[in-house]
Amino acid sequence: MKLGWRRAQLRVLTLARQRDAAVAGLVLLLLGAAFASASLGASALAPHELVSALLDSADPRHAVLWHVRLPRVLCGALVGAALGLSGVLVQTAVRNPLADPWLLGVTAGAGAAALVAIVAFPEQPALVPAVAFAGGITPVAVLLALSSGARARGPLRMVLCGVALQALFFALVAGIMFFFADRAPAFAAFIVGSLASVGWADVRLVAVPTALGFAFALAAARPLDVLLLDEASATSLGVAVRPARFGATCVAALLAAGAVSVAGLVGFVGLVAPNALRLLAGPRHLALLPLAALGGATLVMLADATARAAAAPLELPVGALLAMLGAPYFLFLIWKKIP
Amino acid sequence: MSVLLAAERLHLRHPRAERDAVRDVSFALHAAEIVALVGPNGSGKSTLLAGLAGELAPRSGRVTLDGVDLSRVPRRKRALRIARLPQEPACPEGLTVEQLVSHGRHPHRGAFAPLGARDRRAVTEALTAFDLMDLRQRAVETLSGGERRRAWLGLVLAQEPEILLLDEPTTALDLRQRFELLALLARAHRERGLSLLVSLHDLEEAAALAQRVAVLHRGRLYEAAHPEAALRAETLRDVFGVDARVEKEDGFVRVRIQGPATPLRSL
Repeated sequence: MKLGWRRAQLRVLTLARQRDAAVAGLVLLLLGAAFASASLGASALAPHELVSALLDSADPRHAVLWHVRLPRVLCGALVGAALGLSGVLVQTAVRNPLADPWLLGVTAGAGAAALVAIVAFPEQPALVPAVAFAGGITPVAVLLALSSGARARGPLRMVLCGVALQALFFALVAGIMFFFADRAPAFAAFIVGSLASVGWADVRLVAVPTALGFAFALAAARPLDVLLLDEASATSLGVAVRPARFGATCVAALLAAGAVSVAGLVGFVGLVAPNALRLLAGPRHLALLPLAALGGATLVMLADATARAAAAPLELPVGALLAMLGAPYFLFLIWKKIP
Repeated sequence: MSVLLAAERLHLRHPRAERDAVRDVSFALHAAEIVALVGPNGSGKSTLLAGLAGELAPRSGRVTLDGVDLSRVPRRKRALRIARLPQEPACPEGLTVEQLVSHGRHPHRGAFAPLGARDRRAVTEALTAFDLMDLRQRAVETLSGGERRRAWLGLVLAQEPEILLLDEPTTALDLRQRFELLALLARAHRERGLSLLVSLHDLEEAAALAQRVAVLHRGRLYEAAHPEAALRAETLRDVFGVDARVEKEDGFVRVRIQGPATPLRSL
């Protein structure tokens, strides 16, 4: 008994150490991705040049770095973090690790609404995230209403709902594309998801909802943990399950809306980042949320750097690259998790 | 004995269902009492437990806790007094036994409060009571059926309620696990003065564990009395549709099933 205790303690310690090492590795990867993302592109820079060019305003490359690369790197990190967090929240709200803001139609809803806002109020770019939020929350409300009561909340039902809603939103997007064909190139970048034309204004635009969403989610970490139990047990522990689920998805929609407003329809980050890190983080939100944010940020920055470097001087859209990565991973998860 | 939790002419219906699953049930659970809830499948046992836990709002009638309408008791206050363990509880992959049991402290803690000394003591006591100390670092999904059931019972015990509502806690356990589980429940009742309402399939188990047995039949309360009075041959025929002899042997109620009762007398 005594010996077993000691061994159990040792095992926990080793696990914790492994986790610390993995987290440290992830942070290093994030920094590396930021560095790579800042130095790669139409004009590549070596790491030591990067720092000097960034600090020295007389350097000819300073302007490009400061006004183009840096906001782009930050936007990538913030968009990735927002989508990673959004994924965790949606997965907890529907109690299904296969959920994702994209699959549920949240991204499409936010995107369609954002396009409407861009077309209807071209002079008010600050309005876009707010309208996108409203669009992003619609599919969630529909899904929660449809999966209420005694009906099972199976993964199939959820994904099929998402398919139906996505079809609706993409029809809306196609309609806008059709009637505003003169602006088709800009819209195409939006639909496929791109960080090609972001600036400091976009950083501010995505930073606010991301910070807010992160703060909300962290503050609710413990009720979120309880939400992962079955509905009866969570209720018995005093959690108002329905309102809590709806609240979590509202925050998820806020995060996704922020990301969509600057990067367009970027998918799969919310699916890949939390699921890849769940084993490492464990089932607790206090660990999972920061790790998912970190993972999402790293993923989008790496993808963006790759998108710029892979076919330079041509630039691939980052959303397409992420989908190429995310779709096979989704298939893998389906194979593993759906009986 | 004072009435703790009571149903008054309670009708319960699941959302979208066509009929009431519980009909006109009046029933009282007293302080420090064990009541076993028996009845065939579909007789409304789980629904009644959900209604008494305040999870399912009454269609008519009401549930009271210390005489106060349960719907007026705030969620957290309710969670401090009533704990319910559903038939098929679920938790995320990778959650350890200790983490699961710690969830029982949720209603006791402030929004941002860490696990305090009192919480840790309650968790340790619950782990000890259900013999989980050696399993505390194991992930719940790696446990056997009996161990898993004990882990969930640890959660509701760590919640330190006055009333425990258990939905078929012995289902899917083997004979020895059942025996141990019932002994542990009886001990928790003895040591903490818990009031227990436990739905069970096995009538002999019900009679051995409980001071009273409540028999549900098609959503109605057929009888609620001490085990020998509730489990008569007539009850078994009317409610369960079997011919049986009920005997008392060494202080235990023995139910000897002889075969299906035909034709079924309608009520």
